[in-house]
This record gives sequence, C-alpha cells and structure tokens, in this order.
Amino acid sequence: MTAMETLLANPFEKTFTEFVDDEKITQIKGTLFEQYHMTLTSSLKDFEKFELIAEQILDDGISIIKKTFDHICHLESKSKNIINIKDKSLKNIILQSYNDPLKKQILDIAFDYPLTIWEIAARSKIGALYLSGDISYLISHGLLATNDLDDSEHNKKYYSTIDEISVKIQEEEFHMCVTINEIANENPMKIIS
Amino acid sequence: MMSNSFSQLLCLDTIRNANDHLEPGQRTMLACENNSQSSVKAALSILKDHDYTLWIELFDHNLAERIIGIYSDPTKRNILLQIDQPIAKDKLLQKCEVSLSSAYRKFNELLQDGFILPVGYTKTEKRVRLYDKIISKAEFSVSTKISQIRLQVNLARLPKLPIGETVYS
Repeated sequence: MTAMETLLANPFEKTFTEFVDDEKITQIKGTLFEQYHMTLTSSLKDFEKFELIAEQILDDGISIIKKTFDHICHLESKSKNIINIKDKSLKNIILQSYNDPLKKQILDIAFDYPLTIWEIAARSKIGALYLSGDISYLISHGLLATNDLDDSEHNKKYYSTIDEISVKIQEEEFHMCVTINEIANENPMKIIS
Repeated sequence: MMSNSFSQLLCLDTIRNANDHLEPGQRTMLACENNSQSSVKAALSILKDHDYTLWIELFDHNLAERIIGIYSDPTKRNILLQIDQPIAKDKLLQKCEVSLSSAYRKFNELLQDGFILPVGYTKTEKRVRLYDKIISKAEFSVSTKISQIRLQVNLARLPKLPIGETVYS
C-alpha cells in the first residue's frame, strides 16, 4: 500500500463506480472478497489486487482504470512525486484538513516517520480520546496511511500521505498540486506512473 | 474578522500608496509589531509588476495562515471564484449554488475582511450596489514547516475614488 493509493482510494472508487455498471461492480466486489477477503475500498489501497480482478472481469479494465485516473488526477512530476488533483471533493478535504489546527497538528506529527495512534496522541499532548475523531477522519479520507495491514489496530503505524500542497486560485480556476510523502514507500507514484 | 493590525497593513490605502510610489520592478516592505517580543518584524512585501499588477507576499506565518484559511473555505472560495466583474450580491450568490443563508454569511465575512469591496451601482432605474474583488490571483503552499502565500492585485480593478460611487452600464 502506498501513500498515493491511500490518498486516491475514495475518489477512485466514486469515479470508477460511475463508469462501470452495478452488475460488474458487484462481481468485482464478490471476487475480491472470495480471493483476498477484501472490500473494494481496501483493495484500492492495495492496488495490484484490485487491478488484477478488474482486468479479469472487465473487457476494457485497463482503459477504464486509466480513464478513472485521468478524471481524478494528473501526474505533474514523477521524479518529484507531484500530482495535480482534479477531484473537487478531494481538493476540499485536503484544504480543510490542513486548515484545521488539530488535523494539521496530527498530520505534522505523523510526517517524518510512521507512528501508532497512541504515539501521535502522546506527541500532540491533547489526548487520544479528544483526537480520535480527527484521526479517524484523516484515515478514512486517505490523509493518513499505513503499511501494517496485518497488524492489529492498536499497533498499526500511520504516516501523512502528503508532503506539501500548492494551490493557485485565478479567475474562475482552482488548481491544486500535492507532493506525495515518500517516507514509507520506495515508489509512491507507481499506480499512475 | 481579521485583526486591526492586519486590516491596517493590507487595506486599500496601503495598496493605493504602493501603486502611487512604486515604479514597475520596485518592491517595498511593510512591518508589523511582534507582540511577544515587543519588536517589529517584516510582515509583507509589495512588488509592482511590469504588467500593471501588484504582488503581495506575506512573511508573517499567522497572517499567511489566516488568508489561506479564507481560501480553504469552500463557500468563500466559490464566491471569490465567481466574481469576474462588478456584480450585484444576489446575482453573485445565486451563481454559487450553495445554501443562500450560508452564502450571505460568508459574503458578509469576505466584505468585512476586505476581500470583496462595494465598487458602485448599476445604471438601472433601481440602483443596485455592485461588488468586486481586488485580489485576482492567490498562490500558496502548505507543508509541515511553513505556509507561504502571495496575492496578485489587478490595479485596473482598484475601485475609483470615492469608493462605491461609480455607476456601471
């Protein structure tokens, strides 16, 4: 699971299910569960598995996956891990999270290396109970990622998926580029590169 | 609403003053009081561009974060993105396609913060107040270490004096 897979999982699922009919989606979900005991969302965070099943079930699986990525993002610089985010709701979630003092603090703490939820809470000096809602929001929206898929929730270590956000607002346009955090992955961009 | 120190630093008079006194390519710095150390620190710089614009670069972290906060609010951002010429409030808020009560509240906050200005009236029989924005472009980056922001003011859109009295056809 890479930072990129985690960040793009939700918008990918939303857009992909718009491009593929319900019957095929049900088939993909069923096969993912039979073969890997995974939901569609978790498979998107482990993209090779999703890709394999989508290609088995859909005749034009590769082109639909490519079309979905084209709809939600654009690779700006592979060497610098920069992507242009096109999905409107993801842009809003990122900006609002980085503008919320508590969420920003969590993302800053988990930036340099992966930490458990308890370690993040201890470093924030606010308390796990108070932070749990924000941490869970950041995990569910792909701003915190983990590589410890098999570990218990108690031991999983999370890190921020974004290194830097760059925004341009001009006339009627709103552009956002994000630099993907590469601390936990050798090639965080592999799903679209 | 922004603090007075911010309003005083980045008010319309500051922009007019910089425009009047700077030649294209010249830059000026503005400072503000550093409350914690009772000293003065650089707050922003204003650069007059060659193509009739001013670039305002904010150095003060708190000021930068406040402005980024305004652009991070989806409704406020949407309102600002919809203004491409002087426009009546009702027409602007209808274009935003969000709940009107929320849009009115956010519009008023933008007005108080100086991001939207009353610039004149329509020429029609029933005079309707028109509003415009002076910041034509905003560029910012956010990371764990620093937040940076620069704003472009289109000098052609600075409201004429006395502010708000111009009649648009």
